[in-house]
Amino acid sequence: MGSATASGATATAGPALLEVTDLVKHYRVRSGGSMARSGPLRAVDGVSFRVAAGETLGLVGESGGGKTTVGLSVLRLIQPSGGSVTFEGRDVLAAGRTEMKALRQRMQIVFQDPIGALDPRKSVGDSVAEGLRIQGLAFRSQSRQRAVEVLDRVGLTAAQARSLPHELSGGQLQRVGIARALALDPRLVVCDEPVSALDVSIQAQIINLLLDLQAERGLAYLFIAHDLALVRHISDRVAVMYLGRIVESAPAGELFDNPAHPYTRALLSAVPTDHPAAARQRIVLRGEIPSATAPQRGCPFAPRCPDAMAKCSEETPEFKEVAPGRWAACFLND
Amino acid sequence: MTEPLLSVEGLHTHFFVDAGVVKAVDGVGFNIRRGEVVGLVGESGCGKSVTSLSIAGLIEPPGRIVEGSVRFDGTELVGASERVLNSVRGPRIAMIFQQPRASLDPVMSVGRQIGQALKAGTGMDRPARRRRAVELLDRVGISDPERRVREYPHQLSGGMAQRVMIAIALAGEPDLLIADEPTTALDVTVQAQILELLRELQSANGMAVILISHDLGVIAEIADRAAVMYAGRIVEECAVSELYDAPLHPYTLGLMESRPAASQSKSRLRVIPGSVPVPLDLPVGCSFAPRCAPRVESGLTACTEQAPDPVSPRDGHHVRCWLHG
Repeated sequence: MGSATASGATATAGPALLEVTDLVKHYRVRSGGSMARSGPLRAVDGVSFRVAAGETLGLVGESGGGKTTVGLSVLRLIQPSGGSVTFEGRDVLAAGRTEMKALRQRMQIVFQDPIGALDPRKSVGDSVAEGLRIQGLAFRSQSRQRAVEVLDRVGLTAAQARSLPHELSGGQLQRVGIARALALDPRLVVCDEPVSALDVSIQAQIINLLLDLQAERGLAYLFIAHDLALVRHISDRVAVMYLGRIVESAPAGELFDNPAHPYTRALLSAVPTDHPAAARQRIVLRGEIPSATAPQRGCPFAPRCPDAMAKCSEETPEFKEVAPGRWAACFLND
Repeated sequence: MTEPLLSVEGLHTHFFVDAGVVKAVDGVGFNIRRGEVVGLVGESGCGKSVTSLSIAGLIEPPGRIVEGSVRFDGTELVGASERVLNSVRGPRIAMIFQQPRASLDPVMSVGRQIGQALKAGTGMDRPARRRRAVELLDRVGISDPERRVREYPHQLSGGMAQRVMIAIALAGEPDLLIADEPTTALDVTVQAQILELLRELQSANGMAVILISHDLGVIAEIADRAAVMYAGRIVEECAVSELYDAPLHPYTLGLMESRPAASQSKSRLRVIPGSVPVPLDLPVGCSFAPRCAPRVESGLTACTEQAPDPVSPRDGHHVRCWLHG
């Protein structure tokens, strides 16, 4: 599969802000017991994509597909085993300490669980200010002021800025998480399931905030989520991951309206209905996503694929352009 | 009309904590007929889980049912003895939860756990229980049940663990299954499998189901009727299709409109302003009033003075809202 070049993989109009090529992350798994035949766990197994400035790339797929590992690798919060990550023309994986610190200002992350990223004994305002000081962007007094400003922008009052994390609701904490990322004025924000822990009515508020900030500041998002309706709504393009690989990528509307890969089709058909009367053709996939340690031959999706042919368990389909701007790894498109 | 299988009336379940009284369930009533699937939908803290635990007699201090009635097939369960509760809970009312693995005993094989549920309800001997356990695993779609019956919970995936929980629940051939967010922790593909299984078992066994979920889509998949909860009360109850086509309560409407599918891509979503009220400090009048845009537009004053009683503007469609009564 790795033969697809990044430039082609998910072509966009402008120059890439972020370019990921053949990214690989393997974990060594201790063998023994019932796992004796395990090889390395291939969490990410040759992933390539681009994100242009101001664009949102949605990354979807079942848990265990490697979405989060991709997000963490892009920021080098974990060290990939191979491949390259280029951000604003600079090689992220080769950057030294000083360069990495500068890069981290420009690329930030928002997690699912913001409270895990906050000091429980510090006011949320201080936590935001701390980020500014560490990055050398402001002195103590200025940093407090900047923190209050940025918290105000995400909809939190000065009084809330003085609160401890446990005094705030889940939605308010996620606003703090966004403020922390935003304070450094990044160009790219990796959003890893930013609303999945929130109640439905609060999710919409946070999504609107992300959309507003993007329009205001030209932010690019790598938006990782399992909620497909949400990803469709917020993304310009969407990439679908399965077992450490991107199996399809396309402009959001096209991917959802006319999926080219059987896995995408199955995933979309599993989404609960929009209306009780909407009779749907459901493709119920057999089983669950297998372990990424199992030895691989052929298409990784073949064992669960309703359309699998003999060839699929023998050869690996190439990830290639099946229509302008649309890429998929499946023999059915040949 | 025949008597409903389950009838909940004026249920109040409160939690007495240091900071005050949390009225988690504050006047809930609904009926379920045999073989009917009712969805209970709402955001966290709305009282949907406490309602189901109250029905099953599983409320523990500092919580207590302070008022109301839960009648199951003619038997009053509120204030019933442990002996009565045990004869109902398990064999006749079974429950499954969001975290199936947390509900399974980690040091007991799957077969023995199903066997225990069978032992409680039937006089089967051990070999018969083992055979039945294998049958049940097969029934819930677990492949190679002869092998799986000897396995332990840590050897199961999340989807398989939920199937095992369903097999345990089915052991007593219950009349009512309470499923509390049964698919929330699962991937969308596995969620579809489990919902399919529940739907199929429900129609084959004629079992009634209370499906609790925060996800309207999940409710729409299998429920006949839906009840929307907010701050400890059912604010709207009707057929699921009517809930989608003609919702009456401003909160239900807000939930429907805030779904991404309801707006143009990349455009701002409609939102319900504010957040769910703190249960210790519920507003006077209608609990939803502070977030309710139609209230402001209509200029109604009753909303902030008195809680509305349920009214039925249409047959079988109940709503607690001053705008409709």
